[in-house]
Amino acid sequence: MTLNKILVSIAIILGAGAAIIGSPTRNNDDLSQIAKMIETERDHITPIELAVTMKEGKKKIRIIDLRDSVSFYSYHIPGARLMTLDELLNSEVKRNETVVLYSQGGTHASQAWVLLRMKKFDSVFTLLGGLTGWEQEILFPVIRPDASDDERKLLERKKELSIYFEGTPQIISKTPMKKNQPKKIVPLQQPQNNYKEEERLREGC
Amino acid sequence: MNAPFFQFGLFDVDTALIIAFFIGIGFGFFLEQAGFGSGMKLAGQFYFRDLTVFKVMFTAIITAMLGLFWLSWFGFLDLSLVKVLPTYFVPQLVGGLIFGLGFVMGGYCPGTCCVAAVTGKMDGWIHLLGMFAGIFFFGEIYPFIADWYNSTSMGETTLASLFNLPYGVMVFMIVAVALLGFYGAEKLEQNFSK
Repeated sequence: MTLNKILVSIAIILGAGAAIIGSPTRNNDDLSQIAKMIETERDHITPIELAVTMKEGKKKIRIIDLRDSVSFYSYHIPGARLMTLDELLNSEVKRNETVVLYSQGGTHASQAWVLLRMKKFDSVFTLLGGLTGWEQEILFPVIRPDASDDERKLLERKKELSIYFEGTPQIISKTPMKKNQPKKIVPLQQPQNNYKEEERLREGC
Repeated sequence: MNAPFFQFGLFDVDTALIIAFFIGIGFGFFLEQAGFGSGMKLAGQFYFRDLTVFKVMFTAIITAMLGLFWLSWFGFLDLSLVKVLPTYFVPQLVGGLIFGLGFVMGGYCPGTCCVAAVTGKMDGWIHLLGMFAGIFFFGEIYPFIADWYNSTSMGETTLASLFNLPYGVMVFMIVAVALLGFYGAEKLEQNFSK
């Protein structure tokens, strides 16, 4: 058998195999793997982890706000994009991106997380506690004067992050606390999304 | 392991450019080794005397196509992240005709004229010069033809989506067309090179 004949045979076998299989993607959504990720808590990141990553700015993160538009425009995490579940599934968000999902409490975000995991997104997380968690941990962290040294260290970190994200650390004292309201309302506009343009520049043809 | 490697952040833009450099060198080397640094050999396909270009290009297409299909099936590659150039039917048809005209007249396509130029062939250099002149000319007239250039957009179309066929079936059909093409090419060469 000549080399040409061998190569032709390989092409025919691979081609015929492709025709039988039909689709180049295997439908093997491993649900138990998804369950394992939830059990081992690899499905979420904490507000502090998110805030630190955003502040450092080293890693590109796509933040998706799954609440309604009224809530979104009254306050959202800086850089977040408003989307419904359906919009998210049909959006240009790609599998290789790091995606953080949040809703008010976390229910919608968790549902979206499962959907994206089933679509084989590798790096998708929910925000632990949702926007409520963000408010409690980052915007209005409670600083207690009687905290231990370890706690104090963490509180200092939270305070620093709170100020960075224009929140108001709540210092507990005998006087009544101020009402929790973000110091500055984020302006009514969609976050700038330079991602696609940048990717285009990189990819070329 | 996930591919495309660049898309999954295995290396950054700088490393990607270095890798692209070496792939480019390899591409040029093998084009030259296949005899594609000669305008006479390349032009031979238009007289049906030497259809090596057709055979090499179609071999490359089916090798890449089968590779992508099976790598995707085995889970190494995410096809949705592989760049598909959008189709603009009429402008690309006209572009293809101009490209073909240049190929017939000069005996080179863009890649092979670079190979010819660096192996010291004067016609390769002239072709390269013409190519850059064409790029410059296109750049100058682009504002006037921009609307037409972006007309008849079909988005990121693939043959499988266009004909609404499963990818695998389309892969098999292209393999079949290629193999029949190779057989036909051999016959043409035998008849026309006498």
